[in-house]
Amino acid sequence: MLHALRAALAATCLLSLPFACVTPPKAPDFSADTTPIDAAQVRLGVLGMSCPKCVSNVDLSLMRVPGVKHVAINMKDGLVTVDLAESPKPTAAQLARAVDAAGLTLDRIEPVVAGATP
Amino acid sequence: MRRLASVAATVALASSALAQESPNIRSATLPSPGNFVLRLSGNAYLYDGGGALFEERLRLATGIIPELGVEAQLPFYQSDLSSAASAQTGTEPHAAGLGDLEIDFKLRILRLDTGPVDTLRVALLGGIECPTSTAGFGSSGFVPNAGVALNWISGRHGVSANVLYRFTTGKSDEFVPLLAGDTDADVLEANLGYLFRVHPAEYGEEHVGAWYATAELLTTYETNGDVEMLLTPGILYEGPRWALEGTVGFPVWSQVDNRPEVDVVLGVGLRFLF
Repeated sequence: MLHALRAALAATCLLSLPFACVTPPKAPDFSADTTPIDAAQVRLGVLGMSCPKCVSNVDLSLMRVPGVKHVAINMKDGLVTVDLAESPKPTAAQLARAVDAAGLTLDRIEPVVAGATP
Repeated sequence: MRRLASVAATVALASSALAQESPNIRSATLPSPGNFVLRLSGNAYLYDGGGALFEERLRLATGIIPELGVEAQLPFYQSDLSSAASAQTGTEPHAAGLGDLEIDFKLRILRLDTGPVDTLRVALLGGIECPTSTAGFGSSGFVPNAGVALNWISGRHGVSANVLYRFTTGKSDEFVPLLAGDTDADVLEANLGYLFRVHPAEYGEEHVGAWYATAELLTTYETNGDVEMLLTPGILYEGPRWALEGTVGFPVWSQVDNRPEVDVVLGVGLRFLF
């Protein structure tokens, strides 16, 4: 019996081992970017959207940022399209904080140019 | 017949499930600050030799800061024991009552997002059970716990694991010994789960739900020598704001002397994010 328990513990520890040596890549820091975004729509590259409910976390979080009108999520490419109000305009730092609060990683922010494809 | 009716009632009334997390394994994921996850779950423990214990559990979790979350959970129990189990546990065959209120904290110590879907999360777990039980479905003391949880998701595959130690307090004659931890022995949980996203094979541009097949190996060891290992396959549907799960657990190893042996464990659950 104890062999079975040891096997379960060993499997858990072995599973964790490869990750103990991993150094997380440094995510871009948007905290200093406090200039209001001059665009009607921005596209966020977000990492770690592993499930539909995780994605809803970022949806709810972004909708709390003043100036965010609508959020559309493309899980396939890890893209979050955010429609912005005329006023107030949110900053990149605010959007980055919202993504971080949702437990996800913001990789990039790009203004959407009409007619362009992601 | 009565057992079937009770199981059906549990399945119908209770509800339990979350993100790409194994249904019965503590996860390293947590809601954002200001977001809440409400979880309703039901388990029917059918004992070898007849009789059953029905557990309905209400949980509410929220984020305090992005890497720290808290969850409160309160179980309710109904027992419908055979005469043998009743004699073994020294309790009435039919009883109902609240379990202990549990407050758990989760501190995420690693978040490694490597792709649009791929992620690895590790969290430290710590909590305490408070003596709110009635009819013997808990202890009269405060029971702290500590552990670690891991979630790794790569494409359609997900792995969950957790190890948790419960420092049981209270006197053994105050418990109805029906589940692991219902004696004065400490409990070590070591759980491992695998999830496979059945549908969709690849996420599209729409934010839609997903179906998963799950398999868990749930192990409890008690310092009184009792050990139980359950193989628990299941299914999980996760929509954008809610999730539904169903599991069936079979003992693959059971060396239990201090409580009735479990034959099958049926579980259902429903979770809401708001």
